[in-house]
Amino acid sequence: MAMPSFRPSRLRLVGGTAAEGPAEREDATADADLVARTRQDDVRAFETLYRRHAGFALNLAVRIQGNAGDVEDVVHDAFLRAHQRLAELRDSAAFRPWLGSIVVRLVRTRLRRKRLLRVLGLSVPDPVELEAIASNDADPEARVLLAQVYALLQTLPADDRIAWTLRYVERHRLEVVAEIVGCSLATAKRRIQRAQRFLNDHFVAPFASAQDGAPDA
Amino acid sequence: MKQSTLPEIPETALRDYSKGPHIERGWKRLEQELGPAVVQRRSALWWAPALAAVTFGAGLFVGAKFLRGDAQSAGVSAEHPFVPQPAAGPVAPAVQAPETKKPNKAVPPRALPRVHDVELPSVEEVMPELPREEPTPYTPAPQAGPPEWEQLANAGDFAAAKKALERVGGFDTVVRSAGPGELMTLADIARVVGERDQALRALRRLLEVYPGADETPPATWTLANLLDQAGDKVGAAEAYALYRRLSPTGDFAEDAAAREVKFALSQGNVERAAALLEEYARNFPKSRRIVAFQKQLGKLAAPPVSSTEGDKPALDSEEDDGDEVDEATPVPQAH
Repeated sequence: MAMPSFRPSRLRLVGGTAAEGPAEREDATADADLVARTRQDDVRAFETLYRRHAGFALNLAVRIQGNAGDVEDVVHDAFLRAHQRLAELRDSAAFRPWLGSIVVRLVRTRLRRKRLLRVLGLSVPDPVELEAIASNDADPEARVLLAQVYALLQTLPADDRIAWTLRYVERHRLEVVAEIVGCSLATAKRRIQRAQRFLNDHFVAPFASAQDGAPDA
Repeated sequence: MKQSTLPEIPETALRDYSKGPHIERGWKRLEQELGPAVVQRRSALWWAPALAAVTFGAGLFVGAKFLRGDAQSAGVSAEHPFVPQPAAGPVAPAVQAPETKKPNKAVPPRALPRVHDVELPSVEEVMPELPREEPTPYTPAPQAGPPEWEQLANAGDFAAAKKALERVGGFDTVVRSAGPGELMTLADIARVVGERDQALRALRRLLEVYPGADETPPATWTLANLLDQAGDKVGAAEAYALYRRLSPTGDFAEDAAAREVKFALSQGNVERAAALLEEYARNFPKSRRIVAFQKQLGKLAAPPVSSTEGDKPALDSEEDDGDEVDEATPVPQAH
């Protein structure tokens, strides 16, 4: 089956990428300055970093998990860890993808733990919370699409699910996906393709109108 | 119904967490932990490497000072401490009595043999009198898990699940004895393999037999969608209404209400559409669909002069008297 051919409409990450626009470059410069000041124990600088990137981290955690369970804890731990390990960040301008990789690791650990407990019969799967994923303004078709996609994603291994979500929900470029996930470009591609193939094989158009392409009211 | 390629997920459909009280709340919590914790962490752990070094050194000292002597006094062979002596009788003399051999401090200990260099005696050599039991063949416990078709469906292989259903008597046979969760799975199998009628039967049975089950609202929603696809608009509208009654705050409550409005509009039922739209606007005042519905309702209530009777949608219920709706039909306003 054909893969979705859309391109990411905008780059959300900054630093370390060749296709940045002026806005992203400005963001990266500002991040580099804030990181440098945070390293000198400037709490206000870290607060600014937090306010710039907390939404990104929350979006990332919710969209990978498929629900809002513990996401505030995940983001809290991610920022705490980022603050503790800021000295390890080589490219100060790449704070956002670096933070993203911490969030992804934390969510992945949580997903794997839940999966293990589920296999052992000690836990039930986290439900997909449509309200946590979909905006209030989402069309019914989009909501049903999200509900079905996330229900299918739940059955995938954590790595495939994360890579696909970063590519087609968060709309990051492949290089950025690989950077956040912490794997090679080829591995990231393979994971995304595997997930895409599964979704294409199992996705069923929910509405007749969706197949016809007729917009809803 | 057939499988189709996954459409693009619109970016505007995703909830954005960039703004909201959780950001402020998160910073408050983070700020509380940051300052003192960092200082305390930096100053509190200076002794950890020193303690580790002291512990390691003490362990080395104790081992060098005492353990070698203890091993020898326990009668373990100094030459091959891990190799038992050759078996001379029924009992393996691997370990001799402490009094039979004194430690010989004059002989320097040899290097210990590597584990894979040591030839260990078999159990039969060491304990020949031990009664031997034939190993009993492994018989797995009977599986108490879900049936094969359900496992296959849960794994995403719906075609194989359908075939597995045929092996156990067929779809309808299983439907008759299935619980609510199984009926949902059966409906999913039928939907994916394109058997809409079978899916409808499974969902209708769920609604009839298990009206209070947790699965009933999603089953109603799915039933409504299937009826919609089958062209049974009236049945679909009833099912959407039922879904809203069963789950007024459910994930699809707003969508179900919107679809009811849409059906009423498509049928030209101005009065019902206005009532449903008023209810919709009251329950979901922030929905952007209100304006679009209002426009459609406005057009329907006041058709252009040039329109003919043939252009109007057919009316098929007693309430469908759209021609008699007066101009003052209340149109809800978006808030």
